Amino acid sequence: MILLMGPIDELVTSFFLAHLTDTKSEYLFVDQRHLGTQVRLELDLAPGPHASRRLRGAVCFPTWRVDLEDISGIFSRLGTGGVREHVTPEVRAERAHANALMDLFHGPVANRPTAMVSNNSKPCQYAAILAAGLSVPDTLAGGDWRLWEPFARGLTGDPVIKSVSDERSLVKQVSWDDTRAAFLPGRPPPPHQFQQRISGTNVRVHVVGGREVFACRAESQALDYRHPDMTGHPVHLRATTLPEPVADACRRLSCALGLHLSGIDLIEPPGGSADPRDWVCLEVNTCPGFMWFEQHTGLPIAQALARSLQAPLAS
Amino acid sequence: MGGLFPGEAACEASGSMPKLVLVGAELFPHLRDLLRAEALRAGFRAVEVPVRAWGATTTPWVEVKGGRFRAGLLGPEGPEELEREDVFWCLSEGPLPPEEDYLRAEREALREGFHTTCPARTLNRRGLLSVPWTVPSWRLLAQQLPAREGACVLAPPHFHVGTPPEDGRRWKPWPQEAGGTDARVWWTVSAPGPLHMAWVMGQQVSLWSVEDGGGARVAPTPELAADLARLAAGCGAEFLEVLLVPSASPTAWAALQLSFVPEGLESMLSGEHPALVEQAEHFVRAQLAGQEVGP
Repeated sequence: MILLMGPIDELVTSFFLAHLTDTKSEYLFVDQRHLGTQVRLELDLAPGPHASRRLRGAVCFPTWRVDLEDISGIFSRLGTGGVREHVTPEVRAERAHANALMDLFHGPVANRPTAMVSNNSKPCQYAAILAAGLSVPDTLAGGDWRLWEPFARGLTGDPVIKSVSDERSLVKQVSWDDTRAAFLPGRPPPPHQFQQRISGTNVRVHVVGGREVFACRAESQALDYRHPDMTGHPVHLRATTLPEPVADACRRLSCALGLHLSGIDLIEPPGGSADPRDWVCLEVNTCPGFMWFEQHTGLPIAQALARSLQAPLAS
Repeated sequence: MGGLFPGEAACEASGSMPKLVLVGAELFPHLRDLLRAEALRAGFRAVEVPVRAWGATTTPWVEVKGGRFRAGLLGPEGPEELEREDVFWCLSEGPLPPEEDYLRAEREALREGFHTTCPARTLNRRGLLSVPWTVPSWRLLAQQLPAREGACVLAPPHFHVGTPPEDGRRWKPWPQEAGGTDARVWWTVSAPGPLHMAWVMGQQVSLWSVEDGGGARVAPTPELAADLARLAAGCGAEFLEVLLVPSASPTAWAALQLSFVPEGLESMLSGEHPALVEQAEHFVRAQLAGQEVGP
């Protein structure tokens, strides 16, 4: 059965839960608010020849328990949805136990916590993106005017400015003059990331289990189609098929980052191309809200995810 | 000998020399002396960034243009680029100064990005794609050991997460790690023998008995040396300290703790342990020369 953990009122959690219920899939649901209050985890790792086969344990409820051996895969939305809760030491401990379970579990997990951290730093992801054969925008993160000036000379038009981390994922286009004027002389500038604005069509790619690839175009005049309300520009999503070399690069990238489910933001070059090096990858979302894309395009992402998490484990 | 950044004397050497860039070396004075001496011998300019300055007054920068990374440091005296012929070792990293959550996350992301992409030859590379710096050490032991199939002699302890089992064995709480998680982890080892410490530097492994605060060198069996070297390689580490005990049988060992920070080495260098000094010198020399350290 699939172990699903997350806040019951979080959109993607409830969407996936509804999918599992509608398709009569076998699942065990743990509401985030119950972890550390009514639900606790026990894990046991005895020394032995294969780390993957040594993990034993259970998800423990007040009057019953489910052995980890009965679980085929895990989908977690823990920490999403902005849930306000009273975080006791027990809650913190159980959240940490859940992270340990997801990192050590021998079956598929969407996604393991250690694999999700790459999104905390975009330059970290750029290294993996380039290694997978895709391109990244010319970027400068950090520094001051002594570095910005030569970088700016190489750009076409004004740069895009965005966060280096995954906090406040807003993107703005700025002029160099305004940027320079905004910084106080004599004080080191705060961290920032400047990028070449890339022309082309936004394409969101979800890769499930390192194999199945679901792509959709996001057609919009907005600089950042993910926040269309802020710009007033509408966004139109429609399913598309990637050239196979580009799909392969997405699979490689998802696998290299250790992600069972990834949301890859690409820009397709004007006129299209089958060469992955012509496609620019902006970032990889390690906790993608695939529901919005599925609802607008009909791409069966939840079905593929459920199928991949239900796969019987090799003995 | 010195560096460009606060807390260090100015350097007399020219800018064309390759650089040995150290972060946090002031916390390891004996190792710092060794690193400075080897840098001087190899014609490297030593650049030192104190822990308190790293990410605060000396900040990293990263540029990618046409798919090629450049990276460097920006201190009070200007930008310093780290290139392929340079060597970088961040021995210790402290918390960033308190400020708004967003700015803290940004500074942290910049440091992580620098660690991951810096083109210089890097010892124990940090960053969010590096296992030693993203996985708690008990999980590393559980996942990385046994380091090979077959005749492996190094095992992890038996771990239990949750409430400690009441099975008659002596379960000890796993120590909380700096910046680590709140997990309640317990461990036990069958018939533990005296404490030992192993240092893996490249492929070279040395083993020392450290019971009663002493430091007597012990020859590791080839199987144990191979397991320790594979453990370091599995973690992507050039330098690794392992606390271990003989366990259960005369040839079997249990690894109790891992460290990628040279705290134990510093402590040993402050004593009379010429063999360990020689191992460290050989390791640093090979790193500066861009060579593999053979067994």
